[in-house]
Amino acid sequence: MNWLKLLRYDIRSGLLRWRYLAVPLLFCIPCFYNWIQIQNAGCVGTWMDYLVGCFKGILPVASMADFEFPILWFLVMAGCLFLNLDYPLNDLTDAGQQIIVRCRNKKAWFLSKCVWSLLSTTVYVILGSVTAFAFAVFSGGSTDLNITCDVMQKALGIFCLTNPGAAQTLLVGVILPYFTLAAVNMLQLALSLVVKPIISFLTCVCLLVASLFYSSPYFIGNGAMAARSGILIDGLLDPLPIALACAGIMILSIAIGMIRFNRMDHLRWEE
Amino acid sequence: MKIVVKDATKVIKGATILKNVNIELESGRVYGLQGPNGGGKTMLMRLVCGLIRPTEGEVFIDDKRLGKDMDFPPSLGLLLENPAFLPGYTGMKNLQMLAQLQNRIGVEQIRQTLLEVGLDPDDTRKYRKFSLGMKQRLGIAAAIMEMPDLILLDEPTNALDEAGVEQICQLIRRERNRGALVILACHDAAVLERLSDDIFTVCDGRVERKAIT
Repeated sequence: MNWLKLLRYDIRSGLLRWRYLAVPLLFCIPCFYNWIQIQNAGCVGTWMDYLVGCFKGILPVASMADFEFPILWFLVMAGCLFLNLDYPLNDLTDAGQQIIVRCRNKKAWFLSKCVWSLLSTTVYVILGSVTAFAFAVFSGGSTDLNITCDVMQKALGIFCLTNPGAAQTLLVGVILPYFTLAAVNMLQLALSLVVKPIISFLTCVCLLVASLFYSSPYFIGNGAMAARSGILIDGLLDPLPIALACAGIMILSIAIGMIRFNRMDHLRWEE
Repeated sequence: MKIVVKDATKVIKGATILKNVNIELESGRVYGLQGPNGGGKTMLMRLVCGLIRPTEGEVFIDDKRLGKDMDFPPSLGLLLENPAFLPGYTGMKNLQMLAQLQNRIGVEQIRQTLLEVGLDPDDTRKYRKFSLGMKQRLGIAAAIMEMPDLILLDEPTNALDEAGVEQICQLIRRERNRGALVILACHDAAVLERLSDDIFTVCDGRVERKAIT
């Protein structure tokens, strides 16, 4: 059986869903908040300003007195986890049961779900980027790939001293958040084979919250925080260890998930 | 095809669902499973088709060990309890999508199967608009359309009217005559006895062969 046919099924039944329409609405919340901040600062935000604003996070926490929970960052991160939560295992107890017995290969089935998870995260980030683009256009800002130091400092509270350039900005605003989201989603997928999906969701959410308190590349979540990026602020987190940590989590999650899936029983939830 | 279930026991969350099951099944026969709800009929079917693994014991398909030499039987048609398909697709499109995975049959055969189970291949209604009986018929069509060597039907007559039951009985007989191994669980004793070459009683996880009168 052609594995691509399996993937095509996952794209049809797992990606073409109405719930993806909620993603731009979700990204509108941080974009709108950032738009107000930018207006108050008397600046005009670019596309990347808005996008970096969505994945801003918080500065490293020195003491609990300074700590302020980044609700908007959390909303964006947890939204992606929630979006990817139920499809793989629901499919197995639903129409997917006809699929798995026809594909006759549990590893291929699980691998297809892993690729689906990556694609779903890609769609999420693309829809978020499009929303940020729309905000930049409608507020009269530039749509190039640069950030504005004034906006960063006065509106977003990220004290970058120089403009890092388009490639570096893409790394902070798109690639590292994408890597982080992809890794945490893969972890959620692997965990959902061991515990109930809602427990795996809550576990991943706890890991994201923990990363707020520990500014380390090995705490998943830090990669998606522009406020902790060494690219924007000297002395903070280097992107390479973050990317390696994300890749490691993804590979480990796929390997463990595959072994677990091969051994697990395929039952309905109530069983 | 020959299926051997050897000393198979299945324990789920401390409850023994199947107890030391030993059965041998061969092609060209219909095996009926009867017994009370929760007795283990569906679990036995899941075990034979590879959806669950025995806690103890083994299942062999043509001398190959299920779960070790293969994940699932090589040629399998399945209807387990409530059929499930993509709700936004028509019956025809759902079956086409399934058939594309193995590329064994074409559009004409799918249309033919739909007609045989009493569905209109040109029906433009989406699956979500189907009645219970239509969903059941589509589930049966999915199980038999690729002419598999092993067919598992769990309560195939659910939600069907008398004419529908008769139609399905004829199809099951035809599949048996074609050489398929059919395992059938049905609460309607009359239908089960009419169709089955052998009947097993599944109760409290124990499986015993019942003499056919």
